[in-house]
Amino acid sequence: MPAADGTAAAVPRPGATRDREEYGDAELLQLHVDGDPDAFGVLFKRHKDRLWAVAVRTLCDPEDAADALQDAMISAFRRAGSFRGDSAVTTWLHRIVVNSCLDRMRRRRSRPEVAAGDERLLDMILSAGAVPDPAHGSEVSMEVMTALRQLPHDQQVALVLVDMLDYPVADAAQVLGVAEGTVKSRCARGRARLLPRLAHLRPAGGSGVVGSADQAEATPDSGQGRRNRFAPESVLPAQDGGDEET
Amino acid sequence: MSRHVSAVILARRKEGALSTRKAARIDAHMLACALCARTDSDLAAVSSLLAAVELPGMPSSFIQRVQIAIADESTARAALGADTGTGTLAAEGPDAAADSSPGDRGAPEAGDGAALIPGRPDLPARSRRLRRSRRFRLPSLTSPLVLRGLAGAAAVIVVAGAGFLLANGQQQPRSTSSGIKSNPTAKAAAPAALSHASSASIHYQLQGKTATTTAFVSKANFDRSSLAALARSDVQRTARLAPSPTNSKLVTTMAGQSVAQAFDVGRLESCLSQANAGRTVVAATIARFLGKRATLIVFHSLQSVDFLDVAIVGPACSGSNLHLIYQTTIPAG
Repeated sequence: MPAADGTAAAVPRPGATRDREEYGDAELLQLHVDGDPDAFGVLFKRHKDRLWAVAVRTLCDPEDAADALQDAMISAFRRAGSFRGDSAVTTWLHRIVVNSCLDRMRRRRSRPEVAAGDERLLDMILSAGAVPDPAHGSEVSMEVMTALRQLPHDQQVALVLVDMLDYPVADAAQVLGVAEGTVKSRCARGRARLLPRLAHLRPAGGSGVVGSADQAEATPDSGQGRRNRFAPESVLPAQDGGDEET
Repeated sequence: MSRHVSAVILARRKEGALSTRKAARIDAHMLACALCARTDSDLAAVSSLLAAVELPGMPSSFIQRVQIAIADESTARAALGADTGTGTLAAEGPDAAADSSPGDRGAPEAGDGAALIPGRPDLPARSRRLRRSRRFRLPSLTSPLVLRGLAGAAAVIVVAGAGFLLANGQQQPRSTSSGIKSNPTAKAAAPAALSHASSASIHYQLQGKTATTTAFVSKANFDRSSLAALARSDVQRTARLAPSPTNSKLVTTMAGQSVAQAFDVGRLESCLSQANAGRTVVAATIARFLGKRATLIVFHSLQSVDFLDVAIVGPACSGSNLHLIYQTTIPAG
């Protein structure tokens, strides 16, 4: 398997004395394919936070997100042997999670809208104390999430990756399996659609509710913009080419 | 440019998705148009609002849930791998559910040469096809050679049987065209074989006594999600089909195989004796779990009549080795 994520190409044998935590993603996946019972668990543990961040923002419902993530992990577990190594393991995992979420979104669309998801999301935000000012922050977050949910699925996922999780457009394109230009277009359309729905969150004549206009000017692909806590520098390692914009 | 610029165009401009010329025109327009400049600023605020949404990390209960699911998969794979000699499930995805699951669409498909073979990463995909082609296959029943052989064997059996019956002064039974009765010692089994029963009575030891249950052969390929439905269906079938000596130890047709070929009755009986742990076996079904042959055993739960205990054992299950793959308890209803 090519070491697409920059890890060593030499694949250790199962049972080697090296701690599994020290292995690269590609090595862990290879160990899993070779029959190591614990390797995939280490892989999940390593990436669970980012995968969860994608799932919960895409589905706007923690229960649904957990189900989607579980389905995706089982699917990845079973299909690890078909991983070719053309992309990084993280990209591959992200793609499986996104597809699992999209599938759930389509199924959800076919049944009546329920408010339970919103309640669960709000409960989770409040119970975890994720925001400094829960009373205000959770309200804004809920409004943003509700507006986001109204978007077409492809725009929603693109905005989750690029705007919410600050993935570079190139990485988002790889995860979604589309051209970078397509990601940009989806983001642009999504933001335009959100504009009237979130306008009330910005005081008239003033700067944005969160962050100043100067802050907001730093676009995600400029590389100089805000950094989300879910998107460290190495969130999706550089891949084989693909820098051109379509 | 006198008309206002749409939000979509402004957003595309921000993404650098417009031509230089068009972007320059819009820039010039915005210098003079406060409304468009405001819209542009609002678009930036939308991105900021999205980025500012703070959601907590994955709750520990959810992490545990996924970890348990992964551990279950790992256990099932190890148990099945021990049976086949490979350490992993087949790459092509043995169960239909996995193949059609959403996540798989995201998984890059294996290509020739680059594909990794679970359990044999040292072999390229082509070698795998060769290995597969070398497996033993039953000859096709439509082959003229096979048909001629079957017809010849049937004729010999009919003639020999008729001679034997005439010599013993008995009436010749109706002959069949199937040639199933190739074994003349299987007299007691003949009626069941001809009726193409799909179940058999199996005797096992329960707390020192001999008990009887029903065994089924199914083509079902189940996983944990479909396990409960299959178990309940077996219980219902058992209720309709009381075990009787006439169908004992002979079950027919699983993809063309007789049950004698499909499983070892003696081994199943000792397996059930080993597995029951004081519980009555309601039914045992030889089917496929995640694509691999396995037996689903349904017990009456000792805890409550409203529940059934379900165990999945591998084909190696016997009196000395349980070969347990998975077990759970489900509501009887």
